[in-house]
Amino acid sequence: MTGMASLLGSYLPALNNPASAVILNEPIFMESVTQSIELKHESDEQCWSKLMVSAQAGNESDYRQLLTELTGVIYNFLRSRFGNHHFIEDCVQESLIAIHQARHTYDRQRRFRPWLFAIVRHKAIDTLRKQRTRQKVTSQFKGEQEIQNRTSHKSDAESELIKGRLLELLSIQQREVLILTKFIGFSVAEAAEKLGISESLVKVRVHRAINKLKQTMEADTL
Amino acid sequence: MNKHDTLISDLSRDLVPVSPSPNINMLALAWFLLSAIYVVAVTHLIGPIRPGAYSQLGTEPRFLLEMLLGVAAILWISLLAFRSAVPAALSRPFAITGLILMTFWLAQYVTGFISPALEPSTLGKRNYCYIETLVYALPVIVAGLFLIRRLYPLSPIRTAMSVGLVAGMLPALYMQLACMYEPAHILTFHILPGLLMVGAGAGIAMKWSLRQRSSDPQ
Repeated sequence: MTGMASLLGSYLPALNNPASAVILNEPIFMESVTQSIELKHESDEQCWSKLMVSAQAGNESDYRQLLTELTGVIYNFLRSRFGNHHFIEDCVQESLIAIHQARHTYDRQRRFRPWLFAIVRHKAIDTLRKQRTRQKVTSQFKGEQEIQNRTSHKSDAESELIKGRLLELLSIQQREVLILTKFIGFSVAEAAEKLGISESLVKVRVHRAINKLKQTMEADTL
Repeated sequence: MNKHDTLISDLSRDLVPVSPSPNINMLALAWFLLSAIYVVAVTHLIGPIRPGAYSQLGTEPRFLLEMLLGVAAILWISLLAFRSAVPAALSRPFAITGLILMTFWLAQYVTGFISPALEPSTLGKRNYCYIETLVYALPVIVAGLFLIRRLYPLSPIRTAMSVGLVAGMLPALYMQLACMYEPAHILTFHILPGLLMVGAGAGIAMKWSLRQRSSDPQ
């Protein structure tokens, strides 16, 4: 129900109201909404496929329209999985560049969405692995003390960080090292010190967390 | 204008038309067939094949099955390698089927220790069959990676390992006809060098991706 409600929320913002939950439980309503979502997917699919074929032929305006539409879709896809992180901005950009580099591999005989999201999933994990944004992130915080406060308690910031449903699948230990090193931007040594564990254990946990995210994303069907 | 808009206008400005990549299944099939012809030709050029090897295919059903299984497994992995070079073109069931086929084929040689498909003998032994397997595989790997370079493999190392597996297993398979038949010899001097080419493929791909990374402006 929660998943469906959030999905509906993205299509029908007016239904985000808790009072709408009763309506959402109605089977006929659910069925018709599911059908409308499928129709929207199908029309997006056809539209994007046409735009990409046109872009392959060198049509700049169609390509610009396609990339503009995909930016929002990729952003929502990543935000629903990882929460609202600064790294999503980088990831969207990386995905757009990858789509540009791989555009000749799109085959109109195949569906567009699997092609698109295979690239996005790959780029998300890739960006997460390469994430070294300490300076960028720490500048968003007022100081070291504030960062410590935010990481040692279940603060609003941390709650925001773990909002992504993929992160919720990780163990607490994996999630905390991932958030500290990849999202907040601590070095391995600093994260190890804060958690009171060895640096190698931090590296192992980060490695396992990313692998688990990768496996989960690969199994993620749209 | 936010940074996404700037990037989008940069990417779409002076957009160069691209020709869509060719049918990957046909490309894989062509690579497999040309590689097989090359392996057979070069094996015959270097030395004679085992006397009576082709007639054994007609008289020994298990031997025929073993060879057919090998061809099917290698062909499947060829398709798998090329599909893995295009985003979302390779499905999990397809990949698993390929691995099952390959394992099933190689298991034939392990069971051959108990019940060999042919009577083991040193007839037709080639002195440098293991070196031949390694050397014949290299041009096949290079050709495969050359064809794949225009595609967009999301996991280049995994793709190159599949290419290496096919390249190594093609000469290894043909050695069942060209060289002596004895399970321990097959596994040690034909299959093992063939499997080593998986590492060679990964090594080449790592060199490739390192080169790409070093030329990356960031």
